[in-house]
Amino acid sequence: MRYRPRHAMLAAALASLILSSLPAQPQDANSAFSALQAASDRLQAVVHDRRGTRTPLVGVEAEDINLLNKQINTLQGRYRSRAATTPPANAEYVDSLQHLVRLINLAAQESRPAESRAILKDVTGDLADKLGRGEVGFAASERPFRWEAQVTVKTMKDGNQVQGYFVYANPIRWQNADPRNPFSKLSSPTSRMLTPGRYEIVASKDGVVARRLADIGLAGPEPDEIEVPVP
Amino acid sequence: MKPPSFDEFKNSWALLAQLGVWLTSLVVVFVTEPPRLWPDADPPALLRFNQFVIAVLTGCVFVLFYQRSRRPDMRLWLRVTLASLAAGVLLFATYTYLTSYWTAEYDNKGMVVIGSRFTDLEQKWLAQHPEIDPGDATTLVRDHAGQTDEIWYRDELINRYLKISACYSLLVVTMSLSVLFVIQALRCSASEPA
Repeated sequence: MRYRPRHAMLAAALASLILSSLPAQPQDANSAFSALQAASDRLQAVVHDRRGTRTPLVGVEAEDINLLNKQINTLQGRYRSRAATTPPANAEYVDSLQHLVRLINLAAQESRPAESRAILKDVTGDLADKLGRGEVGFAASERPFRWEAQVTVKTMKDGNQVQGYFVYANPIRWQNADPRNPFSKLSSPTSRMLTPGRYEIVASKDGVVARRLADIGLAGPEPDEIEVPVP
Repeated sequence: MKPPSFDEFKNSWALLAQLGVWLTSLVVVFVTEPPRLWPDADPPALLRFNQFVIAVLTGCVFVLFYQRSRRPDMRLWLRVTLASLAAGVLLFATYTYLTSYWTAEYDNKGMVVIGSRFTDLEQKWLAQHPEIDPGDATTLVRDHAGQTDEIWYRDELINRYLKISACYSLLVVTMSLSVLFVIQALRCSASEPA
């Protein structure tokens, strides 16, 4: 068959399209975290270097870098703890980490202290946001962590926690049906993840049943703590 | 002629993909995030699709730009810009209308698609509970903890989602193209007279 440049061009274009549409692999997220750590180290080195040589300081203080390192370590720790059991991180998440790397590098190069500090503030703000949402960037093939809310139920009597209640949560629509979302541990306290919604929380023990209606995950990313008074 | 290397292709696509991302992000500022089919669905999937389409279309448009980039072509590009802008305005109105009637707030993380035909089970439930307002979609979705297919028929939800998504994608693509067209009109106006 005669070689045709047009065929080669089409094949190459198709291959590049397919390659670029593949999801990010776990090592991408790992290398993004490593790059983030390396950028933070570089920034730290630049700050120390400028202090040592008495040149104008980058507007970044030691506590800013400590906060940055702490955030990166916590996020990376969360990622690693979930990496074994969940699908690979999605491309957006890896992109967002790489964007943070670029921002940290920019902060290190910036000669105006106020600008440099403002850039780093953006970075730490974004990391805090990621940590607050519990977002670790896994693909949507598993129910994404960020759409579920952490709920802790305490069974209370006369202001004190009482133990040994079986707890479950049913959406209001199914409030008199069989238990739909049982908590794996007896109270109290006991926790689990639930999709946001209006629920009836039921605690039962030896024929004693206590119920309470609660909005879960509707107010924001903070974990919900529900107290169920028992007789 | 020597055929282009794979790396050259990759570089061209990388540039187009970046343009696609940039244009999408530029337009998305003016348009709300697309609704979710289910509460745990992934809205960025639609955005990624749009970025891909825009990247490919940008490539096609650049071919046209090379052929028509002289000063007299400015009028043509101005007309095309206005036409795509008008289409964008129409699509925006349609998208706003559809999202107003076909979506509901659920968990403060974006809208979810709702239906109009209740499932048999839900109809029975609503008949037993006259205190529940069937028109209050937000409360219904919350009472079902986001399981919208327990409330409305799945086919209707998917149908509505596809229509809203199509409208959203067309809107983002049209507005992105109008940005490219106006840039080309400016380039033509700045070029040397024939």
